[in-house]
Amino acid sequence: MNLRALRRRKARGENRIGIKVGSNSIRMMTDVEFSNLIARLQKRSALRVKCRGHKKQYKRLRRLASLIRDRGKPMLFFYKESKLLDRFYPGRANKWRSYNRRTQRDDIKLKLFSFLDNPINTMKSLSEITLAEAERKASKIDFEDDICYDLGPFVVLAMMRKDMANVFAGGRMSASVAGAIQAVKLKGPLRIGKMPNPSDDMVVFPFTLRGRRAAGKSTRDNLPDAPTTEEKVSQDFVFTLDDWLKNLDKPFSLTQGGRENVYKMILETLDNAKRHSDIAKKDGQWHIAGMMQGPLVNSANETDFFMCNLTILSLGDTIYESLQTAPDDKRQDIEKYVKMHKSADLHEEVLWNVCALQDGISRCDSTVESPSNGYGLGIALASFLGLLSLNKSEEIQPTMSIVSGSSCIMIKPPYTIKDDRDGYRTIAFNAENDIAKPPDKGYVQYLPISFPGTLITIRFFLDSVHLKSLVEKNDKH
Amino acid sequence: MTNIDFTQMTENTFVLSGKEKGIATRKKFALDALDADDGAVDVIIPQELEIMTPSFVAGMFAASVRRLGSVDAFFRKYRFNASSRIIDQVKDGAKSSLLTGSALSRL
Repeated sequence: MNLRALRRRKARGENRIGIKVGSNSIRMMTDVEFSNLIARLQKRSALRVKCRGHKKQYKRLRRLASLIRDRGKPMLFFYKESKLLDRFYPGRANKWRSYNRRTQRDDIKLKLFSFLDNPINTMKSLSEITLAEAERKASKIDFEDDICYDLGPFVVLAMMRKDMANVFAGGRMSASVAGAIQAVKLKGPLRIGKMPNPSDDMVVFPFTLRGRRAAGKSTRDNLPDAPTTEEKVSQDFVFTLDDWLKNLDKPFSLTQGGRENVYKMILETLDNAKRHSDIAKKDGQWHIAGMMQGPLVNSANETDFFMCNLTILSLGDTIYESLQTAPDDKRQDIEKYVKMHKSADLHEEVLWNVCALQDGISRCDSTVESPSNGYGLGIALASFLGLLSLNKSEEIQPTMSIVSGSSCIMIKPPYTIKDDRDGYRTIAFNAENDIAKPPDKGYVQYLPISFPGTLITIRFFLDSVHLKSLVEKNDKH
Repeated sequence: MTNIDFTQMTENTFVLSGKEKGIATRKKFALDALDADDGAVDVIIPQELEIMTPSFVAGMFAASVRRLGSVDAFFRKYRFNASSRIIDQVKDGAKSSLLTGSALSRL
């Protein structure tokens, strides 16, 4: 390089030496890799013996690298009590270590991070993340899915993050998942810094994260003259779903019956979340988020469709815990059902949760003043199953997962909710829809780690070809 | 003739939902006293209202349906001036109000 170019470089301040390794990378290196980095810096320093300034810079770089590695980010690092984290990692309070007593670093890989497809491993992943927060010096999380199959675990992780110590840095995420997270406004709650740019191939139409305020903070809810949070959110969602339909190849909109179904599904679910996740005061908190992403192509490359996802999370009392306060006659019915079907494959808590889906089962005593309890969840399910008409392709069927405590119940074909001869809605998860027969254990699963609350997550598909044929069929009639 | 007018309640919303809100609305319009009274009651619901959820109907009207004994008696007493869609929703809620057992009762 000639002298004039060297002088210009010095004038621009480009004579400084860098190591081209970011802070996160330094923190995530193994001990061997870090030792090699320091050794390289020492070697370069030894080679540049003529330039004392450079020697000083290398010394500063070595010291800076050691500080970055050992001190971490200058943020608070102390144990925060959290019901959510303590449930995912039992004994967390006793096993939690101060920063100086931590030595290990690790990577956590999340594959098929979805309660709709892989509930047991998704719970295990969340537990693994909580363990890393309690015991690891540094950890990174690699989201290995190509697309976001389910917003549910991300919303749960967002609720976990606010009470977690800052041990997580770096990790991989696909552009498509990054686009979904950013669109739904989960990036801030997840405390993710740099993300890949959203994919150009996948468009995301969000229903951004929102929620009901924490218990005890409102004096105006449930008043006759003021809209409740559930009413406002449900209206927003119906308008959003209509917008999603307008953005298909050929614009559609919800029919009146469709709007009614969607309203019932959202409102009954949110009302249940408010009333039953807080047994004492019926003042529970909930969060909701959703999105439509696409276009995706089916396996035969015949048609493109959009995948829609909606997640409702309420932390607090689980379905099983709330049913423990049910009136005696309802408890007897439930205990009869559990005694009939309990086995090594069908855990008691799972069977209690199956009972919660049936009409008439509620923790609330039916009194003259407040009769008619236990129908909300059945109505929500029946309304959800109305979404089946939106797509008839077998490959892409709608699915709902209800995760509560140690159970995950998956509502999807072939099992559906039906009226029995007395007019009660039942869903028995067997071919005959007979509650006297055991449920299919592939659809009612036991989770080895208990979820502290209830999460309902729904996935359905919008396929403009099928919707067009539905509209034409309705017009003919 | 007594009126129950939902116009003010639906000024800012197209939906009415929630069991607790239904119970609060029942208290607001004093339906316990109206049930005991012999006269009919006109229930005025604006056409813009899209849905009255089953939980809201249960909170507001289930006690009345039980006291009056049947869905028909309830609709003779409470005369709804509303869209057919809302009347169907109230009817469904009223039918559920008369169920006393559960889907597991037959076990």
